[in-house]
Amino acid sequence: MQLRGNRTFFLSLIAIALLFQVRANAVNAPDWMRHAAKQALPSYKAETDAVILLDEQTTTVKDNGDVTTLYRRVYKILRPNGRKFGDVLVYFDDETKLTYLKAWSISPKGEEFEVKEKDAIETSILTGSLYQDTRHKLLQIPAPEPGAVIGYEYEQRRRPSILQDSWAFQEEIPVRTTRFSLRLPAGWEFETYWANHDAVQPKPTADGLTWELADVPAIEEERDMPSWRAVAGRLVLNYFPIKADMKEKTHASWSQVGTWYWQLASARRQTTPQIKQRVTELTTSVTNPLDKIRALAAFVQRDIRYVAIEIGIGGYQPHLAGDIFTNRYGDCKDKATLLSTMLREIGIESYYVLVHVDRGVVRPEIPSALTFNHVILALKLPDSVDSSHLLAVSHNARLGNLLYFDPTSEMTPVGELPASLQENYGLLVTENAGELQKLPLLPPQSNRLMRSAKLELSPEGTLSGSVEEVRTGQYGAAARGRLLQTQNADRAKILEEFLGDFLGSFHLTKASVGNLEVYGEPLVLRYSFIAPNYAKTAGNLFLVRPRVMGEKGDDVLETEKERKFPVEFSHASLQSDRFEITLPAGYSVDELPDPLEIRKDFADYTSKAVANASTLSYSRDLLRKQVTVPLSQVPDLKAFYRDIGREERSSAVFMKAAN
Amino acid sequence: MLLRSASYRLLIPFVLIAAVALPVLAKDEWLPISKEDLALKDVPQNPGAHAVILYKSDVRVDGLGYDEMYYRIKILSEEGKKYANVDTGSYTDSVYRIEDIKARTIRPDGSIVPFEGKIFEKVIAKRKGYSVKAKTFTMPDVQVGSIIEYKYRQKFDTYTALFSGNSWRVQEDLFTLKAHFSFIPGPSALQWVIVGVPPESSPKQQKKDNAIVMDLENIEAFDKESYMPPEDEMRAHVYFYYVSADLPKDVEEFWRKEGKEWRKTAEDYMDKRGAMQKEVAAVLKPEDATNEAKMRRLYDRVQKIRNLTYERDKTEKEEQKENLKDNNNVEDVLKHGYGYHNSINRLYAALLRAAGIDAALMKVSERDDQFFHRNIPIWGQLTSELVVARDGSKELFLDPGIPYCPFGLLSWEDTGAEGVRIDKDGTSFFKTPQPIADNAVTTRKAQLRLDREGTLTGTLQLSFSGIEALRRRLGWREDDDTQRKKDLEEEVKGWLPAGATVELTRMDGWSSGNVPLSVDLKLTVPGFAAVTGKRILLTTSVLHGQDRNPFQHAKRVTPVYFHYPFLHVDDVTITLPERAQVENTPAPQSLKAGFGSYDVKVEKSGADLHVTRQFRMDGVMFKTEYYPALQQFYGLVRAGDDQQAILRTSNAASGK
Repeated sequence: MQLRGNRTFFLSLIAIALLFQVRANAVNAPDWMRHAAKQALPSYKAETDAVILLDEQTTTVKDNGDVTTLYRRVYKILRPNGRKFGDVLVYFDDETKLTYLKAWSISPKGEEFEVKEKDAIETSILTGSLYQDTRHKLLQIPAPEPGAVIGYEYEQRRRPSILQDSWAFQEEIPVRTTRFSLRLPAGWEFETYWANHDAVQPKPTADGLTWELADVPAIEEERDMPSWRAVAGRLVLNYFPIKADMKEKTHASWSQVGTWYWQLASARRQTTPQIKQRVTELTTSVTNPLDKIRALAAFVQRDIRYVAIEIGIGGYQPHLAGDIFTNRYGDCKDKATLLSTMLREIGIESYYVLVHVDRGVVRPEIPSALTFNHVILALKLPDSVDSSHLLAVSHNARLGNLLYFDPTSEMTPVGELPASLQENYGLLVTENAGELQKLPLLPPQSNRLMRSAKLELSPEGTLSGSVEEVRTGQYGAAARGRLLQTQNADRAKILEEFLGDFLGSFHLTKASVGNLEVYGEPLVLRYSFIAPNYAKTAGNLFLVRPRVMGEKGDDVLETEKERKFPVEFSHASLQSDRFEITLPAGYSVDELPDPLEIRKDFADYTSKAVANASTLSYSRDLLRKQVTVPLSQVPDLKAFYRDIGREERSSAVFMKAAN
Repeated sequence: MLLRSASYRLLIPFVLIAAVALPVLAKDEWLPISKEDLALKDVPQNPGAHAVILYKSDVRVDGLGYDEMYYRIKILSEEGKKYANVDTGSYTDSVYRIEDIKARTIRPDGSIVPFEGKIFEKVIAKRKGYSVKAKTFTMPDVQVGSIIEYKYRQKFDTYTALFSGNSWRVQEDLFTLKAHFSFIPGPSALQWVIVGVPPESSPKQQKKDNAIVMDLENIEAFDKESYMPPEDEMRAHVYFYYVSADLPKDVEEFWRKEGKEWRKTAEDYMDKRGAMQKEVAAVLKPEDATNEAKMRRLYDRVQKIRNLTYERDKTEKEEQKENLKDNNNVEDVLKHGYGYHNSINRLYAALLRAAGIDAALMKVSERDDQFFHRNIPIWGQLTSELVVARDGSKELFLDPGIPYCPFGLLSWEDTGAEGVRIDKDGTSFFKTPQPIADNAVTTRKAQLRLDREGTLTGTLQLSFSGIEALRRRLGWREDDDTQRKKDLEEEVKGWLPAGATVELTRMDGWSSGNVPLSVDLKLTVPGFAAVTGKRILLTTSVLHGQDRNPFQHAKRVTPVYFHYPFLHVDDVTITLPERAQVENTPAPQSLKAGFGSYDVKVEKSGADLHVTRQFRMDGVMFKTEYYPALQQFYGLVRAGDDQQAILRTSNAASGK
């Protein structure tokens, strides 16, 4: 499964679109747009790019399950940045037909323009896949100037494999009026789920029901906020048909979602002689079941290239295990399928787990297959396996100990879980069933960055010496990923960029990496440098910043705007620095920075500098205990970071001994 | 000159020549694979590379309308497997087609896995029978040690080929061990220019089949670096162009001939003396006694013309509705009140002449995208027209066709830019004046107060002038004040430590190029100075504590290219906390290099510290041999900016 949309491609497309130049016919804008344009608006903040005057979605479901949806939207552009809303992007594919598309604008001078589907640019490149059969139409609305009102209308027809719809009514800009109208065949029923908004009762209309909201506030981007989709308001609707043969298209529970995926994917795990042979080759030399699992996992993680080709149902259904094995490529669900097939060969059962890579998007109270965008596996561990040292394990009452594993994440070894999946929800797919599970949050000590340095200061202030970094968990995976992507000859540049953030002038004299491709072991970086002018001489004083390198403070909350959402860390972690700086002879300690100790629910920070006649020792630890800092604790986090920042800038003062 | 017309009849002999080569080119065979290639694990010339191109060829036959590409790539690391996803590049299907894609994977043991997968056609953009597409496929069974090999044919209309330039992409993103290039031209004469190719390896034209051929070995991978010159100037390539029979053999003659044609066109456009004189009479005032005063008055006049070049791209319907009439001469520009960049400059030149001032046009190659290559007889290199006016013995280079461009200044792309100048004496190659640092000045004047907790508060006045102000005005021309305020506040916050708050209180000078762009801000920087038991340690280069040395890497492959010289002047006054005594101030720093200078001085003045800092960069282009000097210079600047003043607090001073 893939995330839809790619900003870079989209911008390229806009540039191409300019070459095509739209020819439009002057026709009056429709009444619904004029009506929306006439309304008086409340005052908005100066940085509001535009306001959605009207957002309307009308869904008509037929007895045979065909769904027709008419979308209407009207914007008023308030600022130059709002011009981007003049580029309308509409999705379609072989199963979703675009039957109608038109757009209009009323310029600030009152001039009117109309453009139609034939004026739109068609494209298939707005995905991250190697190939996907989805298409988009891009229609550029003329005169999208500040003060202009622009609007569009389009209709899509589809016969969905899942009878579920959603109304995403909250946007990055304010919405004045938004409504969702539903027309169901006689006898059909529906149920609703509200996310990030209180339930609203629909009003009956002549042929159905309409939900309507007014003045929905914008969701403004904040750094380190939860995923946008996790906090935006939406309504999810399930439709229940009368005909028995269509009932399975509705998923009223997670179990039904699980059943749907089981039926779609489980049969793809068919072994072949070649798979069997490879499993034998990979596992004969090891006896321990866990080592066998590791061998197969490593094969799928690294020998099967990640390549996404999604055509039709291929967006959800994996390829056959044999094809994946032969081609040596596949996407997340393909990798899960092949690994599951190989594990069966050694007697290990495993289950698909559907997830969304952004924490908080999957909500337990809203069963929906359409929410997921990634697939991992849950391995049923044999009783003989000692799982005490495996972190990504949770106990399932029915299945026993389950080890969660992501074969797509090349850098995450067996026993660990990528950061974004921790404390996230996943749907465990078992035979004709599904169970939503909370995936484990790995302890801080599993994501460890231990930086130790032996350094020496010359009387002129030059700092030199060597550093060792031991990285595990996410710190190891991230650094490993970057180093492996970089050619050997250019890897020193990564360290140079890091040191350049803290040292004005320096020369990297030595660098090496340990365990770079031994994924289960800590990554070890060792490097040496010489940094002239690090310490400053001031009369008979010598100023030394003990922190030397590394930054634990953060300016994420340094904004005048009131924070609206919690702060989310990617993972719990423990970072430590231990620096020993040998001082030049003839200096004595005059002043040292005060030790710092801060303990909060979300994190602890301690730092201390001590010195004797020859050595300045500096140590500090940052322990992040939670991944989410609730809004109520955000002021504490801001103060926490400020104190760390102040401490990081502090210096030790040494005095030259009198002759 | 690119060929503008050709007859199908002319193609016949070249089809026949190409047909001789056809049996060889049409063979559907892969090249043999050596044991050495199979065993290759690393390339000494490019150690640790993720993949290398063992062999590539580009064989073009214009008489038959095709270009065959062949790649053989060795995968050397996991990361290198990404090269197994192949995209043939975009093509317009009414002009080109991609045909005969063939591919295979060669396992490390030499066994072959033929590509039998699907070739996908992506629609990049399609409308009304015109579409841009790309073909993509992925190779099977690719492992570290595999060789992937593919070839395809770009098929095009033989006639169309004559009208388009073509180039050999010599330098790829991967190191190339061997490359073969061949080009059998169409019916007209083909010329070429090499960029970044050693002269001794230049293409040679074979007599037997007229093919232009080049074979190269060990071509470095192309790698982008920050502050590098335009990529097209750095990446090795060979550019081809057809020339018509009447093209002068001597390239100097080409420029003279083309220049003469351009001059005639431009002079015809400007030949409205009566209308110009009338306008001059209406615009000039009695006090405009000198030539410079007249030039300035007329400059202001033409800058008021609506400048279509700098307006938002409009849809065709908007253009239809507005129905702007074409400008066929400078009188039209004046009458209509709008024009594009070059037509505004032509109007200015015509007005100057009408005012009795010697004025001519010059065409330059703007150096943001490319540099001027005199040896390439392509007129299109010259992208912008400027006005050269004479005031006595002084020549002025002027560009009123750029909004906000002040009189006497050029936008940085047009400074130090080479081009062609044509006047009554003929054509001459010319270079616009190189700017100096004083043409792009940023001044920062701050009045700050430090409290005993180390917090700095106060005001900052920013002023941008010359090229620096013009660059900002043009960059922000489509934005509103809200956006400009936000961007400026973010920029200033970036100069200060985390936790700083910045509020813009005033900004002036957006609408005129003749005054500096000036901005007032309020700052608060909590914990800026480190407070110890006895002292306050204050970094004195307040606005540069977050600067980084932009040249951290020991290795540099391409020259360093600053767009323009610049001068930064800081004047910061810090009022110290009551009863704080200055124990020590940093010693003055003064660096003088051939390409720039840096001076910083901290002085105590009553209860204040007064910090003056000046950073001047005079150089624009630095060859790699000067990189260490540049790197060291910036390192010393960083050290200077890290200096701290030491304040003794009264408690400690009194022994508490």
